[in-house]
Amino acid sequence: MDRYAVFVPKLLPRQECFLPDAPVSCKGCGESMAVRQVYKALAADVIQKGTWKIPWKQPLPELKGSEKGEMFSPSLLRIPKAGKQVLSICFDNEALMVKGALGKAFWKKHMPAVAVADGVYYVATACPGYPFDLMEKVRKAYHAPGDAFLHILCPCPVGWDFDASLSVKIGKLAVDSTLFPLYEVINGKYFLTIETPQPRPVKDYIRYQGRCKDLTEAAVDEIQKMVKLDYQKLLSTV
Amino acid sequence: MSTWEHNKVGCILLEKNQAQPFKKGDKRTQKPAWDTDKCTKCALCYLYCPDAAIREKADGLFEADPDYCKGCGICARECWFGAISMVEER
Repeated sequence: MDRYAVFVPKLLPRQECFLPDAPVSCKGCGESMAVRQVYKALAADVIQKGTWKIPWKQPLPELKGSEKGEMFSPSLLRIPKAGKQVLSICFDNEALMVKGALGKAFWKKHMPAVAVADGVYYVATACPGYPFDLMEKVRKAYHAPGDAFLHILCPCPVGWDFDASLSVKIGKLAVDSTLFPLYEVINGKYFLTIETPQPRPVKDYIRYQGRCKDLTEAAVDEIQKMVKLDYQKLLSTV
Repeated sequence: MSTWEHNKVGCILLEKNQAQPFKKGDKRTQKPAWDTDKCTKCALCYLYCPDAAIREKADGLFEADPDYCKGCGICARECWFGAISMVEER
C-alpha cells in the first residue's frame, strides 16, 4: 500500500451493490455497513464484469469454539477468484447466532492465526470503523496470488446492547484498545496496519456495552491483562 | 410458573412474508437534517450509512432517502463538522 495515498470518500464508486429491499438488518447494523464497504471496494474489479451474482451471506453451520461443545456460527462470504482461489470474508459479531444473539463466556477463537497456520496467502483483520483500511485490504486480498481470508469485526447494537449511533465508535475503540488489532499477514509475514503506541484501556470499550454490565472489576482487569499479552505476542511476530 | 402452553392465542398469521410490503424506514423515530452552511460535501456520511440511505443531490449536498433511513444516528455522530442533527419524526 502506498504510504501517502489520499483517501477521499467523495471519489468512491456511486454504484450501490448492497441494497436489500426486505428489512434484513436492524438499525445501526455494523455488519451491513461492513458488507456495503466490501462491495464498494470490489465494485470496480468484480461486479462490473457480471460473471457472478452478488451473494448475501452464507451461514457456516458448525465451527467449534474454544470450549468443549461450544459452537458459534459466523457468517462467511466466499468470493471465487481466478484459478480456483477463494477470498473468504468472516463477518464476526461475537455472538452465538443460533437463535438470535446469545452471549457465551469464553475467549474467542483466533481465526486469523488458524488461517495463517493453514497456509493461506493473505490474511487480514479489519473493522468498518476504519473504512479505507478495510477497502484497501479487500482489494489487496482480491488481487493476491493465492487464497485470502479476512476477519471483520462488526459491532452489533442489538447483541452487544449499545445505542445504534455508536457502532462506528465502538469499532474504533476496539481497535484503539488493542482488543482487536488491525494487521495483515502476507505469506506468513506480519505487518501492523494501524499502530497504537499508547493503547486506550479496555474499560473505555466495555463501558458502552450492556452485555458487559455484569463484569466485575477483577474480570475487567483480567481481560486487560489478556489483551496486553495477546498484543505483545502479536508485536513479537511483526 | 406459567409457560407458553398456557398463553392465549394472540393472533394467527395466514400468509408468509408479511413484512414485505413495509419499507425499511417505516419504524424510525428520528431523521437526519443537514445544515447546508456547515456541510463541506465530504461524503463521510454517505460512506458510513449502513443502509445505503444517503444519496447525493445535484448540487453536491446529501439527503436521506425516507424509504431506507432507519434513523440510527451514525451520520450525525460521525460528521466531523457537526453539520447533521437528528430531528424528531412527526
